[in-house]
Amino acid sequence: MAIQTVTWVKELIDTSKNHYMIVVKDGVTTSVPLDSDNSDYQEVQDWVNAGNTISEP
Amino acid sequence: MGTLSVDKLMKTSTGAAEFTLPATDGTANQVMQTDGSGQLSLANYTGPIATDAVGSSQIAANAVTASEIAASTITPAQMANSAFLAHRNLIINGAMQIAQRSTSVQKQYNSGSGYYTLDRVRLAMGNLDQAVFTLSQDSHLITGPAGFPNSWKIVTDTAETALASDEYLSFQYNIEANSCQHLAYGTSSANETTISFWVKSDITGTYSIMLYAADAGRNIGGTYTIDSADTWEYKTVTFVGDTGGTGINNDTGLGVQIVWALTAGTDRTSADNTSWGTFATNRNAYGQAVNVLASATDYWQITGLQFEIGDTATPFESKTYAQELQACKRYFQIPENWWAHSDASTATAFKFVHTFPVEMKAAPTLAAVGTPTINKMNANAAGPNSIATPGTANKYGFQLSFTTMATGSGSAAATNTPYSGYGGFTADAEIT
Repeated sequence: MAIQTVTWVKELIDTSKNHYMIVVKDGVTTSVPLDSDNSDYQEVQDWVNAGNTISEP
Repeated sequence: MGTLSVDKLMKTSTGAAEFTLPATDGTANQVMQTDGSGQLSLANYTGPIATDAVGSSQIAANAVTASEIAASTITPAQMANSAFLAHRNLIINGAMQIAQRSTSVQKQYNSGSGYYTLDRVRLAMGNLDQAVFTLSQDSHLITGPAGFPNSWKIVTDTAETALASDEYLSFQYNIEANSCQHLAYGTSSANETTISFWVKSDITGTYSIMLYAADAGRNIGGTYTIDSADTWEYKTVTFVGDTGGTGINNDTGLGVQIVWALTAGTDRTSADNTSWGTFATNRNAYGQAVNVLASATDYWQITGLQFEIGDTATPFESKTYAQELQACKRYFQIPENWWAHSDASTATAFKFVHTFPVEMKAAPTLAAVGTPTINKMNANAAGPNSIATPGTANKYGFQLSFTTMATGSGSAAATNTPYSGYGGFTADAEIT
């Protein structure tokens, strides 16, 4: 099933750094960590490689 | 009568066999033996016992007790195919007892593949356009297979009446790669494995079962047959080890996937997969001859899953509920008993502290699920009871991560306030 949107969430103190991603997939909102071993993170990388862009907050 | 002393006996009726008796008394428990030429002696029995010379019916119950087996006389090297050794079952929750997500949920043709109801077992689907089905943890305390009070069950609510060539539905189990290293795939020492399970369905016939080694991109398949409708049957399927390919990476990704086909169109059944080879879609479910989604009320259920090294299915390795639950939490858990502190200027942003009871496979994906119970620690009052967007965690727990709490029907969030709570979101690091 398809990812609809991905948005960066910045760190609370240093807002110049990405902290994690909010992913909306099939209408369900999840928080995806920046961890290459996380399968949802891997799916987002595939989504980006397919030409999609992660939105800034 | 006095003592008769002889040192030789001779049998003369059919020949001149002559036996020379031992010259000594020997010692206790020795036996009399011959050298094959008539010379008898008393000695300890040293064997050998010929292959199959002693059958099970020739050893009486309790004839050999533990006290009669000397220490170190039986070593692991002398035991066949790891029988009786612990930790031989690579499957977690094989008795279908752990259901952290839910015990029943209805899904349909476009729900997508995922982990629903029972822990560690996955439903995969693709291209269906009609079917609706209910997944559940079925209970059968004394009516199921002996020792298995639970099973995973799918019941068709709306049929997939016209099965297109690209449609499929399957029950899957994914094993973490670093737990598969002893299979030795990709080497000349690759181990044979056996899958055993109890299965029941109203649909009799031939079903496909398949092993997929993800890193090498190779698979092998086989079949099992449900002979009698509505009857629990025990099945075993043995696969040779994969001596080809590149083996299984020693990491946290997918190592071996076991796939039980429930329905499969011809795109997935057309190529013989009964020996290891490069995976292709048409090698997915070779031999699948039935459709569990054919009619409303059709069902299929399974329990007692075991996947082990060797060509023989050994008795199911039962573990305690606590052991299984802890093992499941490496992949999925509901964070309980956490505390948080709201930001000094933003009432809805919270820093969390929570240590997972089990280190997870990877940093988990968090999702807001259910209603959290949250209390203000400095005011003895309830806090918000809704989590809008979860924060983030590493595989050990939460550190500086934060979660956005909405008010829901609870009290408004406040700035710079400590909170305690439990539930409200899930942590998911499953293998897909």
